[in-house]
Amino acid sequence: MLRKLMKHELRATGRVMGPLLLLVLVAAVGGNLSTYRLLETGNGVLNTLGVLLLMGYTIAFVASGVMAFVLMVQRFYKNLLRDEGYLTMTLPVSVHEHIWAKLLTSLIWWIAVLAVAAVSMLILVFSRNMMQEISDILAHLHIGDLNLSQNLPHIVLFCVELAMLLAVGGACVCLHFYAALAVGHSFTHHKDALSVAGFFAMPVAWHFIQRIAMFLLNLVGLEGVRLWLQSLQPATQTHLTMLGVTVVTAIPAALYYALTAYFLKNRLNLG
Amino acid sequence: MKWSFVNDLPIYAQLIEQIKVGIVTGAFPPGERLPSVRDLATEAGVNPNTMQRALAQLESEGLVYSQRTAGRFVTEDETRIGETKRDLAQKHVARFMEAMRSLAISREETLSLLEAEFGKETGTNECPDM
Amino acid sequence: MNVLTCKELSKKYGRTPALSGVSLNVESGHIVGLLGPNGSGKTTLIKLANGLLTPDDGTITICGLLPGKGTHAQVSYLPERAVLPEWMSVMQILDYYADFYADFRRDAAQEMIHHLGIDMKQRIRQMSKGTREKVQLIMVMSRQAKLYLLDEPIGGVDPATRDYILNTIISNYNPEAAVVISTHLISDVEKILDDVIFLDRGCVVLESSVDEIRETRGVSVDALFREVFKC
Repeated sequence: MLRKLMKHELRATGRVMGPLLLLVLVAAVGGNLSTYRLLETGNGVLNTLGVLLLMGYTIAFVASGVMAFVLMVQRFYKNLLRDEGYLTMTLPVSVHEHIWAKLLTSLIWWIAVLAVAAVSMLILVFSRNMMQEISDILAHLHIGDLNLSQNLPHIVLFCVELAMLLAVGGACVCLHFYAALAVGHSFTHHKDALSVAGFFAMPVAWHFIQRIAMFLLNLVGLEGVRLWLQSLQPATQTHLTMLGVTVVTAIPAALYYALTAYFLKNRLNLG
Repeated sequence: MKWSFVNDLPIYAQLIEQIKVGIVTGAFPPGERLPSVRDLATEAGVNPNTMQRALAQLESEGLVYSQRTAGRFVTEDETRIGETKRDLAQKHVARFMEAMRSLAISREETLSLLEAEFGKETGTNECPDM
Repeated sequence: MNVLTCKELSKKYGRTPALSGVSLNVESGHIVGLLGPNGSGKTTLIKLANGLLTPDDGTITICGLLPGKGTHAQVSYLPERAVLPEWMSVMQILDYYADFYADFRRDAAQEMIHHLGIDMKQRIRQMSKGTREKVQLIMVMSRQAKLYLLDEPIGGVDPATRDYILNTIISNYNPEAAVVISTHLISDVEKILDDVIFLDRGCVVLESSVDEIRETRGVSVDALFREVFKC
């Protein structure tokens, strides 16, 4: 059922995100035209047009990011907790499937936004002699000094770790919103105000828990761990640190998830 | 077939009466297959269970019969249909008499009223232009 | 067989009680009217049966199960408000129901949509209020469910639409299923009901069959309702 939920979720969000991302790419072509042609002419009208095209690209670029963010909150709020919730919350699917469908769809759009951003920037700066310029830049970087053959596995691993951290971090941001909305909407009155209050209260609570945990860990002896970490190879240190940060980010994400699932399942209170 | 209902009698009783009228007036001719319970219920705008109950009653009175696979049929027994027609007519007469009694109209007056009514009918028949 | 069972069911909104100790049974094969004035707890009861609210006290079960994923597959629910996403086309809504409900009869739904002369590509946004309500009802009645929960299906529609809606219900419901219709427009639904439940300020005040009311009291359910809820 998760697959079907995602299909309809992508359909609902894709009708907004699809055209918007396409617009970013088209605007990048316009921006490219502007930088390499219009702004070079010295003609006032064409210069103005060039500036407008660049502005258009910037706006489309920012809008795609903002929209991915807005849809993340709005799909959860409107589709599950408002009138549409009468339809979605009575589907024969579990609360977990609902949360995962919303979460994964949001992540997919964030990845798409990042990918389109990268591609659009390439389009923006593309010119006939770009390849030449890139190889010039690479030549100046002294790639040889990096000792690529030896470090490649570490670089690949680091990229994987970074991607994981970004995914977990993104999920944590998402679930923070979901948890606040799910808890706020379990009340009979002032659902929206309580959701906002919950949104700000939750990180404070998490911070408090963190402090206590750190205090307890220090009592047990965190110093030993630090010394052990310092005795390791720099590369291993980096990997372990990345892993540690990911785990520490995953804990509040898991707590927010549990909170969301509990309130949607046991405390649903559609108005 | 036109269906209509009053408020103070059970729906199934009214259905029985109206289907009977349908049978004696030929809206449901002898030997003909009746529509399905659901179709009849939809047509009359009533609950299918109620229609089912009415048809079961008519079956026990011998006005309709069912064949296991083919559905329900109107009886071909003309004498049974005749009896039913008489029963229905008697009910109307009884209701009429009850109304006359409540208005304190005597037997003779009632009869003369009826005769006048019949006279009117034949009168209009003879002079269609008037 | 009991399809819907409530035991001492209670629900409050803040301090206001909406249902107080309601116990009742709805059997399969019956069309039941859940009748009461506005604010008597009809919608609350139906939302509890759909798991959209959680009870404060007591239990509500459908075929022995608490509301959840398992019951959603067996219950076909018509909410009292418009809930179909406005951007969706009829075709997309058919896809939606067919994807999630194994008991959805797509061809029956398509036939009814066609009969109304609605284009498959038309979006909900482009429809009149009455058409939206009809489309929503068609989706709900095209399922072969065990229990139909219809919340105010004929509220605020013209008499012709009312007839259409009632006919759609009678000619499509699964005969082994139970149907619960909540309404305060009793004279319109009376003919299609087997049983009635009167709710008043969150309590059941009468449970009876329609024939019994007419036979023993010699009045219609509508007249009895006016008597019971006289202001």
